[in-house]
Amino acid sequence: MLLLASYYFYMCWKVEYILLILFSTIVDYSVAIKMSESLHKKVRKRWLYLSLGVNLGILFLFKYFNLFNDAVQAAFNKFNLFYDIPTFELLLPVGISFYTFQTLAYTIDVYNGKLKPERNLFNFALYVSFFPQLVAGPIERASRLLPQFQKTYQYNYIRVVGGLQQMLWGFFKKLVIADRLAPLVNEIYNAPTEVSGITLLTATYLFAFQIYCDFSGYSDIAIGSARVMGYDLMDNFKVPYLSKSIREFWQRWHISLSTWFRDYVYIPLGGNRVKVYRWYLNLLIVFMVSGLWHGANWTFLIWGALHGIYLIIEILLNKLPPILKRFPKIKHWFLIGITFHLVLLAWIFFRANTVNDAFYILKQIAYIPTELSISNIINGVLWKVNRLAVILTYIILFCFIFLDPFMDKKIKQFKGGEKFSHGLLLSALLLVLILLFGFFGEVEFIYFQF
Amino acid sequence: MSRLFKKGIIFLCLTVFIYVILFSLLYFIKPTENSLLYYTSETLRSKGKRHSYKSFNEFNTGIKNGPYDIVVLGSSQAYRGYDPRIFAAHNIRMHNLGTSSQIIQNTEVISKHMINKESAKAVILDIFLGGITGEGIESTINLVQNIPSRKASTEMIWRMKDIRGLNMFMLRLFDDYFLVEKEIDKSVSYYHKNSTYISGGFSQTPDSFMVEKDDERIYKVGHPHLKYVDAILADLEKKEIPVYLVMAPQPRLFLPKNKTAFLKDIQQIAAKYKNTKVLDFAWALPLEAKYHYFDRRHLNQAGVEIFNNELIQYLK
Repeated sequence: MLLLASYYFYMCWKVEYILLILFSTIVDYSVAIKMSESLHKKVRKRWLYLSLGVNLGILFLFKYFNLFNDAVQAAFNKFNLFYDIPTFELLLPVGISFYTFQTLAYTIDVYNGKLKPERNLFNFALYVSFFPQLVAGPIERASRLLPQFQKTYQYNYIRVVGGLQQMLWGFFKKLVIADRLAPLVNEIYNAPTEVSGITLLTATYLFAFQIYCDFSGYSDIAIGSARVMGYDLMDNFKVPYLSKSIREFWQRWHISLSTWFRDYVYIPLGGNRVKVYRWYLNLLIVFMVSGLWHGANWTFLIWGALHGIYLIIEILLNKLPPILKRFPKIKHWFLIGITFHLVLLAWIFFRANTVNDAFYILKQIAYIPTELSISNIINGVLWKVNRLAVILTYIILFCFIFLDPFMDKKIKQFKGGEKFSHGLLLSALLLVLILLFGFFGEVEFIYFQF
Repeated sequence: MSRLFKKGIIFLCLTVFIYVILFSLLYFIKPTENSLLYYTSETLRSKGKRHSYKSFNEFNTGIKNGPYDIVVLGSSQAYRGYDPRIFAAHNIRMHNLGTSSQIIQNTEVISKHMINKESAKAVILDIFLGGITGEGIESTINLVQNIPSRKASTEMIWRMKDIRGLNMFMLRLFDDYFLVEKEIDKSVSYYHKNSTYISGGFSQTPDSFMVEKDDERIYKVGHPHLKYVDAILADLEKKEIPVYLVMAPQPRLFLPKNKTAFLKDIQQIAAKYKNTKVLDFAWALPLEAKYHYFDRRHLNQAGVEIFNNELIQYLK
């Protein structure tokens, strides 16, 4: 039933592309069984390569072929060589990066002997296509999810209410915060030359919260809906903007992806058990690949590289000014501030439409000190004609920033205790806020495009 | 399960209570001439005050002097395309009930609640592809706020099933209860900033032309919303009111195959009714995009005059 629901869910977007999921499912299901049946490592490796080739081949074709083709064409042109392979005008299948990584993790785990192959095709197909997390994660591991499909679940009040609350919080983040901020950010980032540096900086701050609320909002909806049905999905966000280092940020942001890269790219490359320069290179490779995972664009590559460089610098410095050690509270907020602004800097590349735009925005932001005056700041921060609407959005955002750590803890640890009436009141308030302040237009989740 | 049910009921009651309280707060706090509520969403801000309110009220006042010779129904093609002054010059008393992006589902509600023997001798239903295929958010939130009949308003909201409609409906209830006078406020309405409201439900556009791309969406033959055209015609036939299904002039807005397919669908429905005629003016008149259109969908005043005079000749 769940499998049919999942396939139906995917086909609501585009019917034909269900064939891609079916193909990946059958290939990985068969490859895993073949690998487990073979005693020869060489043969098992061949099966693994087949799975990697098929999955990454599909991903490459749909997501990276055009970028690759353009790069090759540019190189040929430089040497006046003829190269004329047309680009594909293919619609990127929603969630392809997510379910491809999920199936890859499965075959690699089976190959490494960490996991026994799933013999039940329907269970495996459900693992690949489980609808709450099919299109934007969390990227689940087979060792966590597959055993859950083998159990039968009974109705559980705490689980259902906890799941519904988490969904509600997710909807709040998406509809009230992310989607309210989206038009403001889009307006600025789509025409950066028409506004001042202060406005660009404001839009960058707003984008940091837009992307967080958009993606973590989806994760909460996915995890919550799975919870209602009796399934536990892994946590994907843990209030990441309160991280005190880039390393910690990646332990709190898109956890399912960062752990995936740790387990299936970073560790196989040797992790930190190699020479120091190689260790740094490994970090850089992992983050650049992670950037490319988000999309076939140089902006994502630079975003990933920046995070890799941050981490390397963090390792190299590894020491704080001694004065800070004497003031733990100042140290705490200082580190959070530094980390947040480093992340913010990288978001400019992530959000900008082109690399040139990103550098232009950086340049304009760097010029801000030359244009500082009260009226410039006010005009820059409230750049819209309808200022009251912008102020209202800022007030909502401000409240959210203080509410988020509390809600995150409360919802994830919900046990339906004695103060449940407070939870009921809070949920009702959240729903009303969604009804009154939510943005109900056509806005997709940002991570659907990945 | 019963625990969940009980808590669910409490939750719903709490939600309704908090919603009303918060809505009231936003409604009564007025940082400017508009209440704070107007700043919570673009929808409430841009659609709150439209000329529709004035048009509907003029219509209700007008029928006290007897039924109109013609009442026009439809979307912006209608309220920008049929000028009551031109009809009046030919001694035809006409009122235009066209409203912004009016979808056919809403036209059906308007027709059901407002058109009868006492209000109209004949109806022009402007048929426009977008009115059939549109989703109707813009249309519904505008009408919910402005149509005099609360019953009609409720019916539209029920059909739309969209949160934006709920908030707009609530706003309407508050406005009705506290007798808030609605006026045309051009500053809050993008759609009317370039046009002038003319008594009788018409919006006069200036003689300028805005070049836009053709709509290349493909029309699906037998669109499900055509059932509302059928329902309108059936209702008006029962009320013994003749109907003219008019396709107003337009530049090559949609693909020729779309127009042919759409018109064929409309003609098939119209054929079932004795008092219904289909008039296709889409590309029938010698109008030029450069001189006779305001934008890709709407005639400018020069275009309206040519079209209306031609239509009146036919109606006579």
